[in-house]
Amino acid sequence: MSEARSSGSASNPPLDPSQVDLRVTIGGVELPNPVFTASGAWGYGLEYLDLVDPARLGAVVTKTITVLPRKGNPQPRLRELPTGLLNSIGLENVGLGAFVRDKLPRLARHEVRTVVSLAGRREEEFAEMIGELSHHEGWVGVELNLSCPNVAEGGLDFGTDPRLVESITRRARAVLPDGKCLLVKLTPNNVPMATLARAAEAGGAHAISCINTVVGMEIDLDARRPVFPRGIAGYSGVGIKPIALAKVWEASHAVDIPVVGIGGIATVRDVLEFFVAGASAVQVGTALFARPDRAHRLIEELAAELAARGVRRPAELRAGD
Amino acid sequence: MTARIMTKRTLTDATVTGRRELAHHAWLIELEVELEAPVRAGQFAMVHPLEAGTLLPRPFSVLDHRDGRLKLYVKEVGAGSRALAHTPLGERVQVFAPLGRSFPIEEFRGRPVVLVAGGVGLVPLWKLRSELLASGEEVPHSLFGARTIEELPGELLEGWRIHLEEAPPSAPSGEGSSTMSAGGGLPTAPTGSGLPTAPAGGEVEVGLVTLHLDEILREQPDAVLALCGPDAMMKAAARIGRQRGVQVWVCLEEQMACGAGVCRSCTIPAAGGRTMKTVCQDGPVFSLDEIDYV
Repeated sequence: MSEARSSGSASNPPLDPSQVDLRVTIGGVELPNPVFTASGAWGYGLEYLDLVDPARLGAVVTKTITVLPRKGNPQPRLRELPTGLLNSIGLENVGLGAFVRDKLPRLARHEVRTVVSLAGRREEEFAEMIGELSHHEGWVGVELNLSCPNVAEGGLDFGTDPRLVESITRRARAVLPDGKCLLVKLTPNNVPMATLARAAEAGGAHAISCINTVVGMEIDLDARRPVFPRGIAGYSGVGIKPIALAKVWEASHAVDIPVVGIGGIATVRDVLEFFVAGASAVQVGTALFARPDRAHRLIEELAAELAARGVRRPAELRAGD
Repeated sequence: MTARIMTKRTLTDATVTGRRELAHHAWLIELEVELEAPVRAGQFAMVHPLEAGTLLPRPFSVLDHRDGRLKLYVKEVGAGSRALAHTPLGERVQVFAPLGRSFPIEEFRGRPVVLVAGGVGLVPLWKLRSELLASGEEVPHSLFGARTIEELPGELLEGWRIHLEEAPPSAPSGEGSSTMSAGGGLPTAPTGSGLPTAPAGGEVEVGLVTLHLDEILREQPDAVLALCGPDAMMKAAARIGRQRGVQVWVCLEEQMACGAGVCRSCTIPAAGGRTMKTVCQDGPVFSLDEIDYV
């Protein structure tokens, strides 16, 4: 590892893109490349079949699924800022029953490497949902959403208590079928990332997904109140990239499991920066709304960019300690 | 309900080949673009000027689409629409189209059609009108409302009955309703403004666009009513249509990030209020009985 970290300087002679190895392994699941779509930004992985092949992605992390369907929050749900988005969707989703009935078989048919994002209102629900998923094909892992700021129950309450992060992760891992991977998505809000990452690792997570949205607010000055009915919303996009890079750095120095970097990634340069900060893979979120094929383009550009820099594997980019 | 099949979408770059100001801060924008499917009335395009500096594309209803040309009528209301309106000729913009469900034109055939449009809500109904006329249907009752004379896109209003909320400076002030003949008294924009006048032969009346809607529908019980415009206008017109028992279709607008049902930011309650529908994918055209609207 230390040898790998010290190599890959910009002065390496260029390679042919075919010499670049983009594979990444998370919890025994080998993925062909390290570019995933982030939860909430690419639906259930089936919405753009007419444009791109979702099976070319390293993985698709689905919209977060809850046990029962959710209608989500009232309008407004989205505000665009010069530096990103504020959203208050509130985990609108079809519910686990409809997901396994209507979505998973299609994901399986299209050979998508699906990581199912899960949120529970109670600690036990995460493991219960994995139990139900284990009866079905069409997924390679789960990502526990312990950090949604837009719901009243669960969400940030779970994600900011390291003991709950550890116990929920442990219960989930206990029922996770062999050959599946367990990612835990953590919040940048309120608690040191190293503390949360260690809790997830102690609970048996295979990887940390870092970061969920940053808590934000927009004010309606004329009405003298927040724009969103819940007050706070989740801030994402290019403006949170520096925060995400710092949190990935912190997490990757605190744990030995892989860190999946998320936050404001839109260009191949962003992807490389996350690798330098310690990420083993990345998720593209907000940038997909403007270009649903953005992650696919990044995969192509990534091989070319690494080759040009003479880097065989993304892990070689990681900064020394 | 008749199934409205979504058409094959294209995500591509387009070139701005035309831009002309038709009304105050409202532009006819023409894009040269290869789309795999024709755009139908009510469908929209997500358009992103690549140098705009805005994060997201914006949804624009399509005014016309033929011969590889996509026409939009863009009113400057925010950063995204302003950026598109001012994109120079020859520049590239990203286009994702056609999106959403169109007006089910087969349901309109052989029946009296009443169109009520307000502001840029004219766009989908202008296209619907031209599709109906092109297929040999009767000329629809076409009502267009705007606040002021400066908001009239003159060349698009041929055959439309125009309602202005504010009497133009030169017009006699009306008691809710005052019709001006198209000959002498037709209001025009202030001299030298470069803005268009109301179309020759068009009728202009001061008052809300819904002023005569009830009378029109009373005489046409089997009419189909299609609405697009400001929320208050559509709701008022939809209530009148519902009271008269005619079929009502609305074309809605909401903020959206993706235009593809993914971001879930444009959701509205379905009829009964228990489930949600997306304006981008289940709409933007809805039958009034599909949604919890009025």
